[in-house]
Amino acid sequence: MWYMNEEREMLQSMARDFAVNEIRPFVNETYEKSEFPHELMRKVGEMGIIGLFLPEECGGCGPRWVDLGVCLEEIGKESNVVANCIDSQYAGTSLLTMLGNEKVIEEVIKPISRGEFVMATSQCEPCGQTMMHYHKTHFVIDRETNEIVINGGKIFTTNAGEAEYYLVCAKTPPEEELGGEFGYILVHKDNPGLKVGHIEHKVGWNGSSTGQMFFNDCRVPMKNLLLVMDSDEDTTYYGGGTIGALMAVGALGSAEGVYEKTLKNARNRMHGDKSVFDSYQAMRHTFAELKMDIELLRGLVYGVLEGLDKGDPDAIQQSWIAKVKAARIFEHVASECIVLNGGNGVVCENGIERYYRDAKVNSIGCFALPHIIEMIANNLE
Amino acid sequence: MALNIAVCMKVTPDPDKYNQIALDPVKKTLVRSGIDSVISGTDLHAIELALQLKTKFGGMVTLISMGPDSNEKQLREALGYGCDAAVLLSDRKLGGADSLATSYTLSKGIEKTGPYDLVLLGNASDDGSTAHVPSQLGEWLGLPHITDAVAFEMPEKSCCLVKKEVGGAVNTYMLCLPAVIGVTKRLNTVRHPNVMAIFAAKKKPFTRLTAADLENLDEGRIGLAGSPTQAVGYLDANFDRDCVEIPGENAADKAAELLRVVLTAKK
Repeated sequence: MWYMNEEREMLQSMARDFAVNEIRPFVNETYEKSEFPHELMRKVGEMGIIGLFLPEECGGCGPRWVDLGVCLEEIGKESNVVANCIDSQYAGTSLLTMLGNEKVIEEVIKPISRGEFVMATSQCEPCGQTMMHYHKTHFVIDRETNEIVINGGKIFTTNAGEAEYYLVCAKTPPEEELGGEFGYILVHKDNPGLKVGHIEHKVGWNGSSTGQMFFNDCRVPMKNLLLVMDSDEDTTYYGGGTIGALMAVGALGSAEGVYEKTLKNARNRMHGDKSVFDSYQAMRHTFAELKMDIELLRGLVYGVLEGLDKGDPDAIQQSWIAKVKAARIFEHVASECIVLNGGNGVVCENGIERYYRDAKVNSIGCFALPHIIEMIANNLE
Repeated sequence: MALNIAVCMKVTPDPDKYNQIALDPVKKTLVRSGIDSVISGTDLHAIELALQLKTKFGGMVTLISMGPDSNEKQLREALGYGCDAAVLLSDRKLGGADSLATSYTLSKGIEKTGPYDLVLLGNASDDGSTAHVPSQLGEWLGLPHITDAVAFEMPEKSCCLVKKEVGGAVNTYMLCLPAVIGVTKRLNTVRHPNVMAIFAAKKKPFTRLTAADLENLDEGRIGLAGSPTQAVGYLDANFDRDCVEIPGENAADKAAELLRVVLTAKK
């Protein structure tokens, strides 16, 4: 591939080895039990994969987007959940990294880079993630104790109940004139007043915890108010949009993963004296169509990642485009692969239908596709 | 207190692609073209032990491999685990070596780049699996050596305790350093490479040595000419499969029955 070099081949080999030996043997069982991949995330940290999106001063060696993409693609082949769990750490840390707060770097970001724990970004409310002017969660400042007091609730918080720290978005008190309408506050999981609510039972992404968060007079030191922002546009683009490209490359990997498994099954399953692959031209043509989709997506995704590496400003918008296209192609490939596997495609133990379920959630995670398309439409010239 | 450790590393065809490997009916050798090459799995356990010892005692881990120039790729990969330097013994004169010629050549490479406190290597490679090289290497180097290591301890720098499986028992041996240890896959769990080490691998010392670089080399002992072992024939394995239902009330019963079927079939 045009973007590969010696180092990336080694990264690919490292990530493939990890995915095949550490994820593949257990993924069906952990998926069935909806187990959060703490141990895998610890290993991902130890291997330095999280460090690929963190700058040196935060314990990383990045951002190196193509290098990270090569790793996420391999991990995505075996588990879209683990790939997106890594993405969720980028979503959380990207804002913290920008702030450059020494204490936060030492106590939160560096341990995350080492895989010691995960964090969560708690933003979405019943009116929607991005309709932040309508959000209810808010805070006030207690001048006597120099604390901020959060009240309200969140839904669909990724990593709810599993994270060590929550980066909570809450409305600022207007009378305090903090210089913006929204504040981002870091809250430790054991902080009094913070409660994890119901954990959702989703159609896919089993093991990636999604749940409610409640804040009932949740008091945190004033210093935990890390950022005040003026408009929801700024916060909508947290992570600089790069998260779209990361989710896209995970989806590319997952599309390839289910495609490769299905192709192998079709070649091994015999109908009489010929494999089903050799028996049906319609089947071979479907594989060819899926392969074309996957390679088309590869070109887009790695083009965007390389653009990000080069600091191309267009790459941010393209990152969201990649996310939309990847979500659709992943879902299409996963859907077709169920059919290509015949009866085996719908048996959970075979690990094929899991990809389709993940593809549906992948279309929603970190902004549903209609919202992203709206953003893209609003930026048309 | 620092330890200077050499790890001998072999590059073998990818075991996942063994079903694609053909045999040359005339030369009786493997036809490897088009088959990916990887670090021999057992050698990874030797690398892991070396890196654990480096963490405990400090020092340096040097990889030594004999083979074609293309082995550089796998040596760089091994550097990505955290090893410090690599030496590749590469020369057309070294080609066609059996285990005796290989161990002799490796011993000359070790003498050239050493001295080392420990020489570690996989007990048997994933492809040839002769398990000759560790003992032969110890003899060429005149060092104490042991094979089939299933456990390793180093209470102090001057000696090590090695557990070796012998039949159904496990014997413990104490070896004075320097020594040569052939390790098994049971010894440890191999870590994953690390991103930072991969990026550093490119800049780590990499030495390529030819036969002419090796001192006091007896050319009659290297390559094909120095190899008393010659393959004279081979048999194709029969991979025909039949479906057999393994009866049993539960998983334990079925496992016991499966074991009985396998053992019976072997006989």
